[in-house]
Amino acid sequence: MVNAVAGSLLTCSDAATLQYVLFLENEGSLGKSFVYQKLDETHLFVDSAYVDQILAKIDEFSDRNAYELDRGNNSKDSAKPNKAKR
Amino acid sequence: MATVISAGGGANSSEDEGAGDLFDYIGTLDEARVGDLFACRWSCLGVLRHLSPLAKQLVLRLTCVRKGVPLEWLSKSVVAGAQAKGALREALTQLRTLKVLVDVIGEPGRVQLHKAFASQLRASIAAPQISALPWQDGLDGSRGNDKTSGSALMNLEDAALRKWTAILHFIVGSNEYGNPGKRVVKLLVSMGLMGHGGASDRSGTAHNNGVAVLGSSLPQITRQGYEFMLKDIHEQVWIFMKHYTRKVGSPESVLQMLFRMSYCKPGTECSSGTLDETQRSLLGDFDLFGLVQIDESRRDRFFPTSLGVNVVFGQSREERMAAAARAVDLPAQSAQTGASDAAKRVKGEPGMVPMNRRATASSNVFIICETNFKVYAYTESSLHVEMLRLFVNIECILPNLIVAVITRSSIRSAFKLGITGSQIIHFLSENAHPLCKKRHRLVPDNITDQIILWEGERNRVRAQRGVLYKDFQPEEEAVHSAAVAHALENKWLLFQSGPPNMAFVILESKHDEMRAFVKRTRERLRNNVH
Repeated sequence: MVNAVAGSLLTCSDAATLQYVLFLENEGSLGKSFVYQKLDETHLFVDSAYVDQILAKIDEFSDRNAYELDRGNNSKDSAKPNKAKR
Repeated sequence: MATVISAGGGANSSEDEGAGDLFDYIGTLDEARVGDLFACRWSCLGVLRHLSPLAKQLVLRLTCVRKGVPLEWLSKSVVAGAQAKGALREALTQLRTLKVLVDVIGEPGRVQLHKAFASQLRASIAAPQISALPWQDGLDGSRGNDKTSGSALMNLEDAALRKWTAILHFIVGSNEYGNPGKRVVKLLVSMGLMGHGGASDRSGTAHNNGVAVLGSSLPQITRQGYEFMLKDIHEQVWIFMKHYTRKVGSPESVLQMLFRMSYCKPGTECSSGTLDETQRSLLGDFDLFGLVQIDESRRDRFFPTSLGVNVVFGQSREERMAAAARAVDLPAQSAQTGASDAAKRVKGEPGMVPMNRRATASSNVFIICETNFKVYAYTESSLHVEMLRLFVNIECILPNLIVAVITRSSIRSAFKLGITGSQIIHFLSENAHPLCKKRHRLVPDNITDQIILWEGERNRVRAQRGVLYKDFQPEEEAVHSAAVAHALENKWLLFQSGPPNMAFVILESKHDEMRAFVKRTRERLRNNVH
């Protein structure tokens, strides 16, 4: 029997990003399961109510992993992680 | 990585609707409106002036022909040869788009000039002395109030320019000129050049929006606003005018007003006695922008400024380049000048008024971008400081130089306002220092790549609302493929996955239609089997 589910299609730019979303799902960091189905390596179908939170989490993740030159003391070697501001 | 870059590129290719100049706009008007527009002599002359040399010649040949002429007759008027044929085709397309040349109804293959257009032209040729300048009726004849000379003109131009600059400053969020007034702010917001809390549709920035709105009630620049700032002054004015033509009931009266204004001399006294209702309300707004100045002592008198005079025929950046290119191969063009000379004789060409020199001098900014993300901008205008501040961290501001650095967070704060990576790169390369231009190293590759990557990072995930159809049984494959084909045909399909798990996603709004289609198809197939 065919089933139809309303939700949101997440198109990820790469497989790694999709794996991060699956990680969020497994970790349960959003409190509830939100992935309906994994469609292929870069597409997921998820609960629309969680889209904003997923996007915020991904933003936070890439903020955590970005490194910038510390311009304050003018030494080019001292790179420090840019702490997430949120 | 390739996917990231293409995602960034895809976002950049979205064009705004601000494209196209005034004449493109006339091309989109319907028959009746064009008729109304051509009822005004200045509009006809303005359109004539815009035409290509060959098109001008054709028009002037047809001016006194009151009946339709066969199309072949026109093709006989150019010399044989492929090049001339191409030019003729182009000229005819231009004439038809502007509805200057129309088909004769009931006589296929015959064309004639637009009736109103032709009669206005004939009137101009027969009696060129009737009011050499527009809007002179009702003036007492004495020309003592003109501000066409010396310091009066300078004052007028300065005041106009100040009004316009104040608006630009306000858009980029500089306080130097203060608030341009409620009416202008409302207009900017309604045009989408500014918005409350950025134009970003990314929900990831939703938290910031709340803060921005609480922090200040002033609107901020949007993506369209930034695009607007990158344009030249004439294009900017035209974007405003285009907004008016959409807003008011009779776009042709806005156009008529602009055409008339383009035949004025900056600083000549004009009377607003003959303006209609729409135009009179426009005049007040033009005063706010600095296109005209309303006389304070007599409200029915106004003075056009060079900003206003140049709206229609102000050269755009491309035209200036084309003009420079033309100057090189002048002899090739000399054959066509006959027609434009004739056009000049019909009516003295409105003088192209040079913009105030100070405006052009301060509008230059020379940017040097280094591979270590440092940016040096030579400029004296605080407008540029504010424009740069949107996407760089400014380290110091010297009297003629800004030293700044591009960082991930500075670029990201620009993205949050909706400014795109390509706009930033465009701004940096367009305003590159002449020395950089000479060496063809406008912006270092690592900078442009990094900006695009940062943009891609923001677009790692795209979310679209939809309905997922899944769990098709193996025997229902025909239903599945029919449904996918149907969705594809109607452009509802967002995604489809391969055979092992037959599933597809369509637009949320089309769910009911799709459900009905699946049901129908299934029944049809079942009936076929039995």
